[in-house]
Amino acid sequence: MKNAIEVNNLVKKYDDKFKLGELTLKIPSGQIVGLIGENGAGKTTLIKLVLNVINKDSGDIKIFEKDYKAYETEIKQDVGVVLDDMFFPELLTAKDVSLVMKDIYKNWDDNLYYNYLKDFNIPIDKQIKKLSKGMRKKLEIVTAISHKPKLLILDEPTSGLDPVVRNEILDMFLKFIKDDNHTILLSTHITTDLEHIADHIIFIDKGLKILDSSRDEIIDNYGILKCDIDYFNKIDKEDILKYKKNKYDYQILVSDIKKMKKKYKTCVFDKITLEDLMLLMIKGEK
Amino acid sequence: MLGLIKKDFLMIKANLKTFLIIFIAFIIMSYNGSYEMTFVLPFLCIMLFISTFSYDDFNNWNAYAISFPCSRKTIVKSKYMASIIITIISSIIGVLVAAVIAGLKGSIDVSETLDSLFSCILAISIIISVMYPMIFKYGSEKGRIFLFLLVAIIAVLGNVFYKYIDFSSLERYLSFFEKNYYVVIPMFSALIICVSYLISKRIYLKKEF
Repeated sequence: MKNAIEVNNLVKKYDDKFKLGELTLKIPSGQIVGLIGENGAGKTTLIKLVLNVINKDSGDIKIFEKDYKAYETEIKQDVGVVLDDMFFPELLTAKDVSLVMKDIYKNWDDNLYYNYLKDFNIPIDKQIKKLSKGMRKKLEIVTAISHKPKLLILDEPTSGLDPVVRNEILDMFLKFIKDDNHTILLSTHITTDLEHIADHIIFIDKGLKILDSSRDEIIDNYGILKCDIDYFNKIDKEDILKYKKNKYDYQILVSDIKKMKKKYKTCVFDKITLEDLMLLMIKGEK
Repeated sequence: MLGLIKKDFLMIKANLKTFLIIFIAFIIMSYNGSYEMTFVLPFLCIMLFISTFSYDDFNNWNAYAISFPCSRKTIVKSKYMASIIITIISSIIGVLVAAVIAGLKGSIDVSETLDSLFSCILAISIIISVMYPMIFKYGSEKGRIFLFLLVAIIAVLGNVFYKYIDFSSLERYLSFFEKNYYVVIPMFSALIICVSYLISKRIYLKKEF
């Protein structure tokens, strides 16, 4: 299987204010794909469309190379999800979750589930509403992987969590992806998380894809050129992807950084981080 | 579907403490002859069950459940099934409790117990049939407001009806229903619940979360 998810010409319109697409993208299997973008860029909309929680206006979606609607229940046996603010009613306990999930997923593994709970010190008999935010998120992730899915779809799994918990969670994902058949689609606006784990980055802004590239390619190719205003005026306009004017200098987003380094020898170049890339691409001037 | 029904019962279990307190209060009142247990218990259970819908909404359970390998149809069906199972179980317990209370008091009025049981089933069926499509369409909070509006409208219309319609001409039909209520009520209940399910299903299939 080449692609875990394939999206073609997908469009979803919300009453004039927001439109997603047309969007065409592929989530290659065996990789961790990071979906980045501002709040409201369309990340959650895309994930909800893929899960058929909302209806598309046009285009098609394939999961495991099968039409996502025609084979919906079959496909979803192998998909685990962690969605932002969507989970079991918080009256229930971790134990209740396993009682229910046992009858929902064919491959639900109670031993695996309880072992994870033990590893993360998640109390079994406590109501979900009494768990801390980090605990709760860990429970959601444990729930999502205990039926041994092939594809994990995670919407903002680390937002609002402290660095310790975030690292624990990222380690879980790395462990999950060790199996070559496993794929993760992870949306986040905390880009530093992705720098550690993602293989591939898809950047969405205002409902459209503006970047779709492997992480290494981004880190190797893009860079930030720093210079003062006099030098800025000398730079070829076509080399400038986006720029931002600071108090004392200019920050210029450039691609093909090796070539740029030769061309503008006296300038300072910074390595790109996903955060800078996101900020400059969205907020930078052209 | 079993998993989804189980989840609803687990939620009732989580609310059991509140429920037991109310239940015991009703038993005490019923012992004094003020309430009919066969009516109160199933009614209480279904009300408790309907209150769990707002927990579902609060945690966006519906969107989460759609990500499961269950069709939307199954999610709707499980709500109706759970309601029916709860009504049946609570009716049986209600009858038993009523029998025990009557036994303690030394007077068993079978026909009165059955009367109250059947009127309870009718009332619950109407509540389920009207309320569930509203909840599926508008969510549990808004659905409740719409239900109030609906009841108000029915009350006003009923009042108008009552004033201008000559009931003596209808009496013949009414007495037929009255004599055969133990057949008519279950059939009528089944019918409206089926229609309600079909409407809810239609709503839910198109709904976005």
